[in-house]
Amino acid sequence: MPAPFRIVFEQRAETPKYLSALVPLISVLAALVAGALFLTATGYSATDTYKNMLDDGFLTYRGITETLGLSTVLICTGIAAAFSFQMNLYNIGGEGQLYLGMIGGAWAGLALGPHLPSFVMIPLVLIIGSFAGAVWIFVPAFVRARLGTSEIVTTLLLTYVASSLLKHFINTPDSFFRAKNVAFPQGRNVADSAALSPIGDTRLYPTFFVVVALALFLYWLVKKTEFGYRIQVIADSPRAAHYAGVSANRTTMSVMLLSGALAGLGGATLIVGPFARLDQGITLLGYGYAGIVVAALARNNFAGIIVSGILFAGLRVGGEKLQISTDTPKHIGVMMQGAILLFALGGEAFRRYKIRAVRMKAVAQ
Amino acid sequence: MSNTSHEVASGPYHSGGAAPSALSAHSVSKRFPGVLANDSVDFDIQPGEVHTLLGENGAGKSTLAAMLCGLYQPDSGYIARNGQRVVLSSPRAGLQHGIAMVHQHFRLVDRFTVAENVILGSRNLSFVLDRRSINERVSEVAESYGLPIDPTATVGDLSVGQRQRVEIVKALYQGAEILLLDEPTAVLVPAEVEKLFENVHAMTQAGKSIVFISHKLGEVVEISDRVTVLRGGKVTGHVSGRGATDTKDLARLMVGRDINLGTQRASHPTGHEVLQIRDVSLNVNGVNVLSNISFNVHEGEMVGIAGVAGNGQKELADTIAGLLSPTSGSISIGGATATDRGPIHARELGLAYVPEDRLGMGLVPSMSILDNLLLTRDRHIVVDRASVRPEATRLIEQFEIKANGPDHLARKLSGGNAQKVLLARELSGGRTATKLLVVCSPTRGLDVGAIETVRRLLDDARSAGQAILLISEDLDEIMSLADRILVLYRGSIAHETPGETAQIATVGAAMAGLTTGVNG
Amino acid sequence: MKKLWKLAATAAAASLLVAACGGSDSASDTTQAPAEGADVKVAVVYLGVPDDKGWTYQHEQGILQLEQELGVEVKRVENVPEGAESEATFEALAAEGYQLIFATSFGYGAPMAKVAVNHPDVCFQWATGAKFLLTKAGGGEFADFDALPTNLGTYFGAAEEARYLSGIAAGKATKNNKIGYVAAFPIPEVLRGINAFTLGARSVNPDATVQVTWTKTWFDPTIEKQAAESLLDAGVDVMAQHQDTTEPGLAADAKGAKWVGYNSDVKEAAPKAWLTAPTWNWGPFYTKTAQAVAGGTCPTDEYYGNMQDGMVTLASFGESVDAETQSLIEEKKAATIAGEFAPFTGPINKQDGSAWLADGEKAELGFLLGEMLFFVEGVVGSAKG
Repeated sequence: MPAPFRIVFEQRAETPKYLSALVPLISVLAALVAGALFLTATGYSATDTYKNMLDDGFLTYRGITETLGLSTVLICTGIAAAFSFQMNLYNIGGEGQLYLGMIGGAWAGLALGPHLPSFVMIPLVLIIGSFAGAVWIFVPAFVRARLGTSEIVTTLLLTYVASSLLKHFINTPDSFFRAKNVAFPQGRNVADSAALSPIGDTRLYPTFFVVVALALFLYWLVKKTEFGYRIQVIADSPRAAHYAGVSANRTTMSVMLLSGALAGLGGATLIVGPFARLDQGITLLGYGYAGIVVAALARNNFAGIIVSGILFAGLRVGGEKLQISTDTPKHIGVMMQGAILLFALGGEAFRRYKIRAVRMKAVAQ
Repeated sequence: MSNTSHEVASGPYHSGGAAPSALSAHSVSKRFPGVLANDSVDFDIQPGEVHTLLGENGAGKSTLAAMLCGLYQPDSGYIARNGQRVVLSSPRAGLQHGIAMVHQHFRLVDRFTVAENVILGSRNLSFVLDRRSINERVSEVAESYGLPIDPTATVGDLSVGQRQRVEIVKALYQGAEILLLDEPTAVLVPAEVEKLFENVHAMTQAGKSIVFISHKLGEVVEISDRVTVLRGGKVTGHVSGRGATDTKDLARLMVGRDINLGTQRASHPTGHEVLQIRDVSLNVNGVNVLSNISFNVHEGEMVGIAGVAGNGQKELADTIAGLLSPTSGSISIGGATATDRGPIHARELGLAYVPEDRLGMGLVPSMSILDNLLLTRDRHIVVDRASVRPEATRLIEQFEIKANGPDHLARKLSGGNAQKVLLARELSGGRTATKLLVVCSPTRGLDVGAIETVRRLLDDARSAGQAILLISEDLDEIMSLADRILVLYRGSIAHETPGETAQIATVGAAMAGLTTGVNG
Repeated sequence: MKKLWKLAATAAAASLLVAACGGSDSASDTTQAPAEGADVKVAVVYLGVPDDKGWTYQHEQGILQLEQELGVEVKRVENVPEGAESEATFEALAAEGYQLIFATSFGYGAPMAKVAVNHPDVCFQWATGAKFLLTKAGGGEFADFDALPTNLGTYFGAAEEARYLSGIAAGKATKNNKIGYVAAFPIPEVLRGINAFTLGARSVNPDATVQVTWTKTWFDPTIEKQAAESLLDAGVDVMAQHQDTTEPGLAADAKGAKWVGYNSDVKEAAPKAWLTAPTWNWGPFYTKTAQAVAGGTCPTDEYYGNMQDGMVTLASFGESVDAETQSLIEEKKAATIAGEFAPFTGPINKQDGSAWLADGEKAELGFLLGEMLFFVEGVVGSAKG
């Protein structure tokens, strides 16, 4: 016997405002419910796990400062990704540009740091790191703008090159970046003038506030300026841009370079912040890739990225601590992050479509 | 209203006789969020009859047609086939009752042959296809209604008119007794329209019923046995008789007021040359799209470019607007050279350009009316929306644009209102006062009320001394508006004639490439 | 610089003595240990997972021994990447009230030292570490040795002793005198091992050469396997490794070559290929350190174990190692434990044939730990990676 109902997707003409706010919330809740089922099935206490994740990610002093500290780099890579995504350019090589930001920032901190005072060095490290990130995306940006070559492939490929470059700079015996007289290959610490102090006894650095301000600035930039206007025209209708004499090539270049610079900035915040040197460990942390998720969660809204960046950082901090505060293995935390992303993206369907169960009617004979 | 020849519906309408209608709708209503698309609509059609659903965009004719073929189910009321009440739960169920819809956008597989497309979706296919017998049967069905098509041709190679024929043959092959044709002439050139009407006659001769959906008054009068006029989801009139009614009456039923589509042709003398085109040729990927085009447009003059789609009209407009660089030749606007200087330069010389493609080229769909007004204007580094807002509000009022205000998104505008926004922007001047207006298919897809407004706006612009280049595939429009008519055929000007004395047959022949040379 | 290393070496030498005594202590303490150690909260941080059959597995064995002997449950934190971000893990463990934290990888040193400053009541132990590296002179963040946190110790051992012995097995096993070595990073720890292994091989087979391939990773099954396969393609018939997984051995086994493992006795992984392996026995050190912390003191030595105290051991022999070879190795092993033999005793030439140690000359421990950045004669490849 056929099912008496069928599921019908009806495209919404317009997404109600309340849904735009509600859907991410419901997505997170749904992910938590799915996670709870999984946790229970595998013999862990869902309530304990969640309570711990919440406490360790958001509610304790240590937890929230760790979260805000981690969110600094995630907001950077998030706005980097969103900046390109909003123009339908897919820079998914934020990870590689982040490495270059570290390399550029570390270079500045090592080469210039000893000669310059802190109030010059800190901005300089951030600027040179951003510049390095932009340099790294230059070729993908250029071939995309001129030849239409898929930036997805080129930016991703360059991430592997960046990873090798980073390792090369750390491992090569006489590398400028390598700690001298140290047997084990590791990065050399940047000059003190190029390193910020964290706030109090936390691992939260003042760069967090810079990055938040930058995200808000980008929000304004896109909504209110001629540059943002051009981006919106090109993203929506390239032919309208052509019609109005808006150069898509130039804007493509600008947007891609800025996207790379923002990811590079993320790497530079690590240099003036918690890392203070080139560190191979970065290749295992995936902050650049996480930026794609952060951008997707916020649907490329720069103000929203501040929230999604903090949320994602908190999940990660809470998830990392799970195996310390409980006996839950680390991968449970990772799975929760994945689940929330899946549900958040799945939730898009609810925003765009109305989903109804329709009673099947028999054809009259 | 009592002096018109229509009868206001007061219940199921029958054209007399006791025989049950082939298909009828009884008091059907359909509600969508925020709109009552059909409100207690009655409709019926007899075997061998052409019954037209006439109405403006959004009047509810497509909704009614969708319920008649099973795409939608009525919220209340019912559909009857041969007097028997039926529930059509899907288009397939409709087809089982012999009802088929030919959509405006064809649903054919380009890579398949005609015959393959025709048999696609038929239930009674044997596992192994005997191509020859299928081809024969498809040809047989087609020819019996005067629809000659080659069953072995690949659909991708066919013209639009031929594809429409394939859709109709497909419906007939599947056993349709009642065909619903949704705006079938919208995509056709005049000759193809004539051919379609012949086919419609052939089908009604064979006892088929045709539900003809249209908003074009002239052709409705020509083809219909009966007309049901819808406005705002309600039936405003049932009119009978081919040619027995006046288009003015139908227009009034459609729009709810009197309509005047005529314009005053240049009654005043034309002034200086505003647009000068000299020997312009354009070669795109090795193909000569435009060859040695030369003509002028003067102040206060409207020059019409007629032609079948794809003969270089779009490229001509884009070249004048600075979007394409001519391979050779020169263009000047207001006496200054505009050749190869880009769109912004052209606009600074006084160009305004209404492209054929409104949403996606002329307007950015995801942007507000306000932002769309800014598209062709000078924007500051920080976009100063506040100072443009009063003008936007004024233009919305002046051009009678149905919108919630300057922040209304372009993609949520109806076709007519989108066109009005585009015209409002282009006519109101941007970087400089508009001297030259290039406008492509300005009324395509618009309903009668909007067509009237748009034509009036063009007329006003001409009266104000602007030079207008009107490029349109709608020959009627060009014939009734243009002071001078040029026919573009394969990238060359094949014919030139003053608008007042133009003969439709001569112009039509030039469009089809049957004459060459420039006459007077 | 040299002085500092000497300092480190002295500290290491001193700790040897402690270890020698401590070893016997812990053995005698076993019976009453559970009561004594029961209230000490211990955590261990792993780079990978405990069942890697390599480095982490071997630490896990030591932790299991600690748990058994002291009756405590140790908190294990797995998959923690080395580098700055591991700081959060150490901070969290300290905040959770763990009194003793073992960090089982080199890259944890700097972040852990940072945390140690803020938690003077917690005892931190850094495997394979060297305090010198935490000072400015060594590229670290602390001004000098005096500025180092006083609650941080390091521990490691003289694997080179067992490396030499396993080299004897390899030298005897090779038919074409070509031995392969999959190595992680060109650092003294690894170079020491390669050199000792080569000396051992050439002590029984002067024609043998050891070809080295660098992976630049401690733990990556895929890369380790690829490196081994490229060596096998180059014709080696015995495979040795300084890696954490069994992949090089499995690759050797697949080609019918022999295998000298590392870290753990995992003969069963490839019984036909297995010769032997230098292995670690961390249990006594872990137990003893936990006991000390329970007693209120945090050992802050730079502990350097060896075969004598049992931190370094040699795994069981594979079936293809003949009795003669076995007795040869056992003989050398006894001499090593007795302190009569050290692998780096002259005459030894460097890779380019130039003299390094004169006849009878012994290398200093400080030099071996910090300055052995070259290959000895018989090694093929670049010591710079």
